[in-house]
Amino acid sequence: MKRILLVDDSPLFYNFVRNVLKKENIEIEWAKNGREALRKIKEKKPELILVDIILSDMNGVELIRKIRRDWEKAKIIVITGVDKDYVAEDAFEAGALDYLVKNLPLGEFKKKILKYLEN
Amino acid sequence: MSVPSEVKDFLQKEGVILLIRGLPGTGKTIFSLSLMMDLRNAAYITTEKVAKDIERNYPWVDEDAKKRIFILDGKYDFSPSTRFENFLYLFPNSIRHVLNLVENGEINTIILDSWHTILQEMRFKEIEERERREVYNPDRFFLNLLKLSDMGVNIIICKEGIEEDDLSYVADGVVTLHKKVENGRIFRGITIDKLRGIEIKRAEYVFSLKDGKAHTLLLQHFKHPRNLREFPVKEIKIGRGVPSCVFDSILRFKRGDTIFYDFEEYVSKEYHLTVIMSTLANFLKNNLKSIILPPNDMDANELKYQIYLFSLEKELKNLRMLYNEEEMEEYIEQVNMKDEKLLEEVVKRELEGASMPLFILGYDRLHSYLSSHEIMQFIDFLRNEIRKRSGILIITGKISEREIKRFCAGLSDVYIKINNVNGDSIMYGIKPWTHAYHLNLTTDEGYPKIVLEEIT
Repeated sequence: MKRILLVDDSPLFYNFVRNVLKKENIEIEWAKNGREALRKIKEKKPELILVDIILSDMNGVELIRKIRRDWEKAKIIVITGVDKDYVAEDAFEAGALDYLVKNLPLGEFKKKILKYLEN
Repeated sequence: MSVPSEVKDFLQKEGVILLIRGLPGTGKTIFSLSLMMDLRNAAYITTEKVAKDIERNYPWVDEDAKKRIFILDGKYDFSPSTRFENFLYLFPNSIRHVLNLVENGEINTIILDSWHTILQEMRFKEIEERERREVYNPDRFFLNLLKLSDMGVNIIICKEGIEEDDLSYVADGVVTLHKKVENGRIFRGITIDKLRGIEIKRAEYVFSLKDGKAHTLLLQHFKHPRNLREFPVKEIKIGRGVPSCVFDSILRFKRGDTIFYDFEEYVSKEYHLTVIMSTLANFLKNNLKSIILPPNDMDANELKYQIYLFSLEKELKNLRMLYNEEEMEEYIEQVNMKDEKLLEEVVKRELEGASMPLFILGYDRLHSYLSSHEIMQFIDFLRNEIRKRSGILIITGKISEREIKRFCAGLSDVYIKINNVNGDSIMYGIKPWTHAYHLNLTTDEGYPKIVLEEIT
């Protein structure tokens, strides 16, 4: 079973991701903030990490940098409500593979996640 | 920057005539002195009276520059010239001396300040010195200057008045300095009328004569900072006033104050948001409850970007954001803004137990949901709630009905107007009265910051 980690302080979005991927045989771990995320990555070694830009203890770009420092090959994509090219550039520079905005159509969102899990 | 870059580029050419014109008091002398200081290879020719005035009133003109100031009919040494030959003798001594310096490569620009006073002196001399009347004949002098520019010397002429005449037709470049006084505040501008062979990027600049020096005030466009840095906290302490983190050099908020930011609709969004976010960031970093019902140009996405820009992630527990839109994120409170009473209930609930809270009300957002009367009632309610808790209420927004603006202007303790003047953001305080300031937005320090420059 593949495992992904969602780093986002919103339980609503966690439930949304669970619903979207429930038939896909994917285990979804949830971390509410950056510190919890770093701990869970160490413990659970997820195949894919989904990071929001606004977290309660650091920003998503900072978290990506920290993850990259310890897990060079981690696959990280940003899923956020901040639809700004400036922030996307910062995220790519820090090492994100993709930058998805939360209002993406459901089907497209699912397709992207599955694509990154396969590759 | 003292003078616009287009003018500097223009003066890099050879043999051009630049006319600087303007009514009295518009800053022609300061502008041309600033040009002389910047160019380093310009000589300044003027009358004895103006030279004394420079000595007395412009201490920033350094010794090196003072050596390049010459009095028109002063006694100066000169020697015969190869480049200018007998043409040299058609000018007064001061210019002969300067032409020697041109020949030596020390000078390539002659500044004449001012055209009228120089011509006046020449007329006297024309009568007094009969044997040298050709030198002092104003018409000949004008024609000789034209020839001088044909020979590769740059000529800058300062002239009183703004009417079109022979000088403005003949000059390769014309800039007009102007000022207007509005409600006791001075607004200065430079218009670039023509600069042959130079692309004019901007035809109008805001201009200041602060400390007796010329400053051309440039508009900076927002740049996303490459490396975000923590917004510096200013302590909020009882009895010390409340910092706005924007206008602290000119005014302070007091606890319980209602602040009205009257933004003209064309002021750029980045400037508007930085003004309000700076105060918000400081309240949050002081661990004080803050509520924002954002103005129209701050949608949820923009607000989240501002949180990222000001590094406020760790402070979100103290922030409440009120929107009517559907949002996934929990931290955005969804409020039915159509119901004024419900809105009041939400505010009361959020303010419960809060000490010294900040409330930022984007009153233009409420226009979609409430009538003018209801908006005014809500503002009045808010003001009382915030005052009870010794907090700060900031009312901001761009488009609104005149009636509401007047209402806010009347009830506010601090009333600041921010206008767009040819693309620049200019602010001035009405309550309390302040001078006009040019606003600049910089992110060089890793966070957005407004820099104020007084226009005087």
